[in-house]
Amino acid sequence: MDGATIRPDLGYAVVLAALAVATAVLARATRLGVGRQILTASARAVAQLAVVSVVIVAVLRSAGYTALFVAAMLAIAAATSARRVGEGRPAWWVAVPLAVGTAPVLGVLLATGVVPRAPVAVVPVAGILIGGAMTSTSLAGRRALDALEDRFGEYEAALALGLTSRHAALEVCRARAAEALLPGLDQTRTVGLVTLPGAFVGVLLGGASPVEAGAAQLLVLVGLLAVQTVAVAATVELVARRRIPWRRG
Amino acid sequence: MTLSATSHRARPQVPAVPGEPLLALRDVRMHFPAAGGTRAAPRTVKAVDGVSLTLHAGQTLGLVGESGCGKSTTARLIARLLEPTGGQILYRGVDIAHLSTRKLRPYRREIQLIFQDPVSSLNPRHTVGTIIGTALRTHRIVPPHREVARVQELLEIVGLDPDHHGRYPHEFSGGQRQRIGIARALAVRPKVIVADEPVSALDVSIQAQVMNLLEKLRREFGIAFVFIAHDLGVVRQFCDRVAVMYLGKVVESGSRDALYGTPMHPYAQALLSAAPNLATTRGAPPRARIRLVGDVPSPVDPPTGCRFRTRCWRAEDRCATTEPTLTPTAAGLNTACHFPERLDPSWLEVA
Ligand SMILES: Nc1ncnc2c1ncn2[C@@H]1O[C@H](COP(=O)(O)OP(=O)(O)OP(=O)(O)O)[C@@H](O)[C@H]1O
Ligand code: SF4
Ligand SMILES: [Mg+2]
Repeated sequence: MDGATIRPDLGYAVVLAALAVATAVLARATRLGVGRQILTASARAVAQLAVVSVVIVAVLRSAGYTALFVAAMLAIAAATSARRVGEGRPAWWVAVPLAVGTAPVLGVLLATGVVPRAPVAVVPVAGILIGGAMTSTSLAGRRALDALEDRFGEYEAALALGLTSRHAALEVCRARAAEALLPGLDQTRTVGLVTLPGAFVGVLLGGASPVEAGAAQLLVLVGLLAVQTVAVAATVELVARRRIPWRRG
Repeated sequence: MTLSATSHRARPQVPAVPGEPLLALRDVRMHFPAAGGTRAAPRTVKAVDGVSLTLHAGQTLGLVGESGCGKSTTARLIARLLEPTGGQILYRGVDIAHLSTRKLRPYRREIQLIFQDPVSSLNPRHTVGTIIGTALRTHRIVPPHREVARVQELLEIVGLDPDHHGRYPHEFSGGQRQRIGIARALAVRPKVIVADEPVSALDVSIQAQVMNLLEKLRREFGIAFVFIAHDLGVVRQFCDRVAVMYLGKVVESGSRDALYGTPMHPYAQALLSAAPNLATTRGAPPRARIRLVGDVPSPVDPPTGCRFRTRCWRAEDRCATTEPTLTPTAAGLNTACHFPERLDPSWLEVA
């Protein structure tokens, strides 16, 4: 597969840098307000992947290190989500949806042996699942808080009618938060037609047959839906119970 | 709709205590945590800071004052959407200030809210029938098979087409949406409706229609209103009693005629002299306007003594040290001012 892999040579570096800068310039020109963030995020990605590329070899050699690595993934995902959802002050409770979303699905996949209990299989699957949980937790949390902000009158009207605070909040924010599941659903719905996601390509590049690659991808997609659904449901519950603090009221 | 009017009165939920007013606030305070405080020295927004009000059955009490003086916070306290940080909220003599969600439930039926912005208070994904039906179901007001019929009755009471119960809020105009909000409030047969600027967001031409509806509800169902508005003309038409708020306190309150006729508090005088639609009511010559100088002080650090002293033209030394309390100053009027005084009546010529 030598000719089909990506080689990080000088040409690669130039193209990558040019792409990031061009994107940032475009973001600034169109006043999307994220020009700087695109550059810093890209730079971070370079540094992080450089470090990971070095340590991954050591990690993949030991089950203990693998567990530690997965735990670190969870912690970082929680920190990222906490800041996204909480804005001013981090909403640390988002760690709960991340954990209750990821742990059972990963557990089932490993316990049944569907995903081989080898570090080289566990790390990427855990990464994809935790990443998916993070995205949908952040999105669901923000949308739920947005809904409660825009529709505070509806929440108050429901309270005044005698609904509990939790019930009134659920009525207002549940549907909007559930929209966090749409990207995952669409990805699953269009897989193979619009997108050939990472796992498929990775497994293929790794030398497996297309059927094996498809099986791996399917597992990831269905697993992701499970993880994200649990994460969104848990996030909505935490918002309704005000564990994740509201922006007003 | 006389039938529903009688059934409305015939269902006492909370026992009436003889001699007790329907609703009374006693020295109610709502201090919100403010930014910039520390645990040792917390800072608070004193949104409501010692408000006392009384409302009798079937009465209408107007609440007026500049933006930020605590009117909406008072409304939310009365409806117990907020738990006060001090004082008592007495409903038929029972203090509901700190009741739990469960214990509060019977009182939820008694006190309802109408909001300024009907759009944000109606769920866009639910039909009008569902929105009003939820109110009916929450308190099991009618048996399930009567629900649609009752929703249609309510729509008719508020002047909407009963056949439109399957429509969504966005299919209605602003004034109609406010009527939906009113129908939802009526569904539980309340004794008190707190209306927080119910017509401010509506076109002027629609405002009068919605005010007529509220007037009808008060007449036919004997509902008492706490009515908040910027428009002093509307308050004058609708309310029996009026309370003027400034920076979290009631500075003057009394009967409509006393307050609009002979206000004694300088702030009330300034407010009335500046109301454009009062001047034109009788085609009187334009009145002198009292121009208030300076900004409203922050509710985080209100002035010592009388809160109005930083803008008051009658202020003296005593005003900075001693806080005035509400005391009778004229027939039917209570004023919190050390130097209550009638203004030259030509300034307020509207009686
Ligand atoms: N939840 C809250 N947290 C902190 N401060 C609040 C909160 N709600 C209201 N306030 C503050 O309390 C004060 C009174 O607000 P309130 O909404 O009661 O005024 P209002 O008289 O209704 O004004 P308006 O005429 O503009 O509606 C304001 O300074 C407001 O910023
Ligand atoms: S007490 Fe003094 S400062 Fe306050 S309103 Fe009266 S005269 Fe003005
Ligand atoms: Mg208000």
